[in-house]
Amino acid sequence: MAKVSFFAPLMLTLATSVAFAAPLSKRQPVDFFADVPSRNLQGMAARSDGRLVPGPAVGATQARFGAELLWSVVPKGKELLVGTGPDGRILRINPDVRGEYSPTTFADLPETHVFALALLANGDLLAGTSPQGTLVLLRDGQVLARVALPVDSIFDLSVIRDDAAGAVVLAATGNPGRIYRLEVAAFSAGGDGPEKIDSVAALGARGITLFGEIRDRNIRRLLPLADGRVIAGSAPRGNVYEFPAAGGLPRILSENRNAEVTDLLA
Amino acid sequence: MPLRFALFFCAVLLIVAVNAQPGPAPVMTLDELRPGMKGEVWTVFQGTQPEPFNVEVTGVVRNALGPGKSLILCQLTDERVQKMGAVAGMSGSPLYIDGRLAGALSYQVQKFETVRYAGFTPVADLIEVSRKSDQSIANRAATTQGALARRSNDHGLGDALQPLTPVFTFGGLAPQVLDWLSPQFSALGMRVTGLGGQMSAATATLADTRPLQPGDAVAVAITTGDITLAATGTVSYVEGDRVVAFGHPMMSLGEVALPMARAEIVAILPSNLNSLKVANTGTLIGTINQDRLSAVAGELGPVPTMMPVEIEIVRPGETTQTLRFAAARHSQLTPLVIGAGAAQAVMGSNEAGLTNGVRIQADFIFANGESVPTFRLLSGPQGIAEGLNDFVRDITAVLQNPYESTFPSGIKVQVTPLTTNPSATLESVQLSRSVLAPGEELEVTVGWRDYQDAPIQETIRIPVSADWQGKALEVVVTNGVTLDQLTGRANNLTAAQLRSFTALLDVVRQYREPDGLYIAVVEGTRLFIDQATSTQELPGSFERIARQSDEARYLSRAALAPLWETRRLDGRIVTATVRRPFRVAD
Repeated sequence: MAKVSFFAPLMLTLATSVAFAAPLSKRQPVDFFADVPSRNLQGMAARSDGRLVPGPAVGATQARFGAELLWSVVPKGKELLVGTGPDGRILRINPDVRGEYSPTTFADLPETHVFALALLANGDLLAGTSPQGTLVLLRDGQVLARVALPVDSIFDLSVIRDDAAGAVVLAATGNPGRIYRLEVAAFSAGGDGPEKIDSVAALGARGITLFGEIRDRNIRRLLPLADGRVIAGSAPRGNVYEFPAAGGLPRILSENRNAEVTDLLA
Repeated sequence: MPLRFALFFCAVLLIVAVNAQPGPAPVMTLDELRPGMKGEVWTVFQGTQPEPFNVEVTGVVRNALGPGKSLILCQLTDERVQKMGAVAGMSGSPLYIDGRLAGALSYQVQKFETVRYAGFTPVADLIEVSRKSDQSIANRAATTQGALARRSNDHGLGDALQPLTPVFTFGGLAPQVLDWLSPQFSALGMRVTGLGGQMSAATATLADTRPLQPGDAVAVAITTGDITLAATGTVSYVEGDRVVAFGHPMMSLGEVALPMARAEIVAILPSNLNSLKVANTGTLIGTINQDRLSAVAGELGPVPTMMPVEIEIVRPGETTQTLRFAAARHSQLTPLVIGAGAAQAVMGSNEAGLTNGVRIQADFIFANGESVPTFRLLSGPQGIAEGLNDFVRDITAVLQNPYESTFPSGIKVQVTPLTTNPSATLESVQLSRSVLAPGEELEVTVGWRDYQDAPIQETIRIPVSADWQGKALEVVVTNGVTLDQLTGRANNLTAAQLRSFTALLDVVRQYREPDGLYIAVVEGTRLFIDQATSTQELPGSFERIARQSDEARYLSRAALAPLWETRRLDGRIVTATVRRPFRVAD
């Protein structure tokens, strides 16, 4: 009898809290014909005050790029540099005023898929590839430096500093899910060494240190914050992690299952 | 006296004239043939010199082999051929009527016939093949990749009408090797015997001094050297350096590049079922570049590149024996003749016993310096027979690749007879614990028994990596082939999955050793497979984009990822697989 009297208020409290808990997301039906002035909504965007408004419309181009798979893109002046697969080429695309494209080969890497690109202030280009997890530094399409990290893939490259003191880039990797910190000057000085490097010391000599690691298989996307912290999204769980500015153990901001964080926006 | 000498001289001249073979003869068309016409067929009965025998035209069977492909039917009236009829090896023998070339002996019309007949391919069809040969020489595009098709005997006249199949004669092989080979060659429509040999140096030298002429024996050599394989027939006509022979297809390969060789007839073995010529093969004299319905044709002079094959028979403590032969480059025949060489090394010597087993290792050496090794360990008589078939299949897989017209520049095979049976029985697998922490050691105790031997145990210590923290894992104890399958290295690839010969070689190189016992720590995962490389749990967006682009090339498959592995029991064959789960605590 004493047990019943103890558990009854507890159960009642739990039931009440569940009933009154508001969901974090809301569902709001919108009739675009009635609610949108143009009555022809092709894109949608969220304004800073949280209101939904018509946004830019995205459509596929009809251009032929000469590659089966377009994985990554960075703007360089009026041009776009596009990482492709499965022939490991980086294309230079020059969209003209008529919206037509004239792709040319900027670099032809022996690697298979160019998953990630990052443009440095001096015009050099960093490329991350799969399935050998190779990091390549290019100048005018020529390889300046190369190293194969002890991972399968490089999914994202994020420049966290690029000034007179030199450029520093974070590389998000898959299998295992890690973030490597790259001092570009030291990496560039090491030259072209396509062989896989496992040892911490050898990586350090090339200007590469382990910034952080997660238990999920892949770090899919990076978002450096202004205060130095780094947010990382993963796959195949789809977690969101926060790394301190100096690197090290992450804090899980959002835990998920069977998902993929494809992009992060501050 | 001078008159008698003159008369004798004239008589000799007359005999020579009567027996003289027509030189470059004008042709006789089908429409000119009439029943009852007498003709001469020139062929070699023994040695290297052609001799004539008499026939009588019975008629023309119009469209006998298909539209526009007729057959001349003749009765073999000559006393010399009554006990043998049309002989396998006579195929291609030229038929002259009134000094004009009318056709080439090519078909046996009836088995167990009471009156001897034979079918002859009309001369127009021979010329048609000769023209194709001219085009081939002009194009210089001969390949060795013609597809072998099982030959059909249905030419509209029932089972009786059969081309006088060229007898493929092997030399240098033991009878039991031939027993193993015969069904394999039959599957390709080839009849092989073991009565092949090589011409003596003296005969070969003598034969080489005179030009090839119609009626001469000629061989298409598949291999030369310690092991010979050749198809022997007869030259139908020679025009400059162009040669037409056989009067029917050899293997219906179409455009080919096979070595042409001189041949010497040792004897004709008469039979009411199927008489055949026993022949020795001589020097290579040119290239057969056409294997067509009506004849084979080629060019005297340049000899196609052969692939050197070296088979070493290694017996510890004894001198290594080496078989050396050169094989024609053909994607279906070459694997078989290499298999024949390996079989000869295994079965064809007094020392090599079939009781225990053999180890066969082959290295394919390509012109660019690349080498692809394959390895098989075969146990007991049954295992050896099956293993040799698998060995031939391995070679075929490399040579018949659908990506690139390439051929090894050489093949080296090493055959090592085993003194003990390599079979071993896996009896037990025990894990020391089912839950461990990173930094600890997992002990796996494996118990096995060699063939008819005492049980043995070994404990393998596996360091638990920090990377395994929080994971549910398995220890798999199995052979290399099974572990390859479990870890996504399937050995039954579809052609569209790979896109280059290099990728195929990469796949072949990645296979684990088929012998021995692997102890592996594995983790269940999903693999994204792109040709020879696989990536674990590639993010779904990448996988979907790639697979939508090319579903045949990019595959996604549930498999086990090896985190750690070691190999024991080198040189043993273990067939069992044991899987034991364990967990690494957080």
